[in-house]
Amino acid sequence: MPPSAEPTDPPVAGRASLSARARGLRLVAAGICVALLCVGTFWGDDDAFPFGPFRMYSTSTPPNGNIHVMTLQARMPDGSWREAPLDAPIVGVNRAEVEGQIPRFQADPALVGKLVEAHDRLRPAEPRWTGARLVMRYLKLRDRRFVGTEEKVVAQWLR
Amino acid sequence: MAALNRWFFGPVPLARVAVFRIAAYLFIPLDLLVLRPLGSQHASATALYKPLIVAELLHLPRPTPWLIVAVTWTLIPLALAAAALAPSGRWQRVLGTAIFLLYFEQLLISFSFGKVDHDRIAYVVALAVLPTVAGARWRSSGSAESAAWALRCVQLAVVATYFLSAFAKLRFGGVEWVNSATLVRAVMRRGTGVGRLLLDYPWTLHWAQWGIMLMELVSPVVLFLRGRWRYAAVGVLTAFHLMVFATITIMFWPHVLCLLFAFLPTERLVRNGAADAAGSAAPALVGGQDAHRGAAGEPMPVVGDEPVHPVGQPPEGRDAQEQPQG
Repeated sequence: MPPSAEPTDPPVAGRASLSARARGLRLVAAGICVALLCVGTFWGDDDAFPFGPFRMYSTSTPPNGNIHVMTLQARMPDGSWREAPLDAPIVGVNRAEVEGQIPRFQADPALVGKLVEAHDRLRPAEPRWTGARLVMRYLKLRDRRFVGTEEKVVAQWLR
Repeated sequence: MAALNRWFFGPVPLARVAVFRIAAYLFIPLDLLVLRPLGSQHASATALYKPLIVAELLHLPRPTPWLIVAVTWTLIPLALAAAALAPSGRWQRVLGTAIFLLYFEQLLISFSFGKVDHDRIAYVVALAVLPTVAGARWRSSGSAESAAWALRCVQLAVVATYFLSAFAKLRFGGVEWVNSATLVRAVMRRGTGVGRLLLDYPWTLHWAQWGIMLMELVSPVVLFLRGRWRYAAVGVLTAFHLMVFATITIMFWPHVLCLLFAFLPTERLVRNGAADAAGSAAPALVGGQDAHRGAAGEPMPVVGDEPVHPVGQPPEGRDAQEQPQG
């Protein structure tokens, strides 16, 4: 309905019904969306949004397994390495987003340079990084309790 | 089929839709500027764009910093205008449709950097269906089948977020999910001080996983609850989200907004005005015992969404609308 046709009459008490066709269309639309969500839940993945599975914290971490945490280390102008927050206000993307693209970073470490460039743009007042590396930190669990840490470099880029 | 029709179209007060619109549209500037200002940050890292399937199917342009800024700053004034006009019901179809399309595009861009948030489906559904309701003003004292369908769709999406996530856990985590250390992982990755206290008592997190799975599997019951049972269920779910926020700083803001505004009789918030408009002397206790009557004395289909009495005929007792109807 065009905006000019919107009702401007005074509010009335009563019940506004829909035509059979309008009801049918609405039921079909709702049915299609529910069906697509169900298909996405069992066969899709996150890239099927808005019909992907609701997979927040859906994977299992074994009680004696490892917790993976991606971290970012930046090389300062003096050559020293320092851990930097892997967060969107610092490098344009956040930790979960980087974790969602690990194979891409491994295949093309130059993408780590894009994080450094984003830092240049977002934090112009800070010292320019001369390189960066993504480091996967493994927090080791025994019987659901933290017992130690291991680290492994995933991808590195130097200016 | 008759039962489905009754469930989907049992009329709902139009004022509830007007209130929902105000909340939903005011959320947009809050979301884009405060809660999730990822768009402006992504503009500095467009090299990491990895499009979603639907973005490719629709041939949406690869985002540039300019596109991200343009979408964000078109959305915000439109949302403010829609919220300001929502009480009068004017321009809601045009503004609401534009807002839905732009917000959807904004989400598609935002989710194309390696991470999809799972708290938005109900909100996206709300933005899609709110423009389909004509004539909803906050002084509307009538009800409409179109309003019922719109709110039912949002309710379905809210419940799907819980119910289908149980199946996602079974699919990706297996049945062992309930006995895994997934919540220990959540707290160790992003736990607050409160959350970290629980790491000393890992059994609490272990049993919480059983509780979450159970809650998600029984969540569809909420769709059929009425009266105080429905309030209790909404309260439990809201408390769950607040607890998650307190322990791991994740808050499903738009989802909780939909939970509250699609399931609760929010028209009572503006009932005072409606009563004035209709010249009624009905008491205006928000959420109070007397707040179950409509402005002009007609019953408001409150929580079960189906009026018990014919429209225009006052209920017999003060709580007549409140009783569970089986």
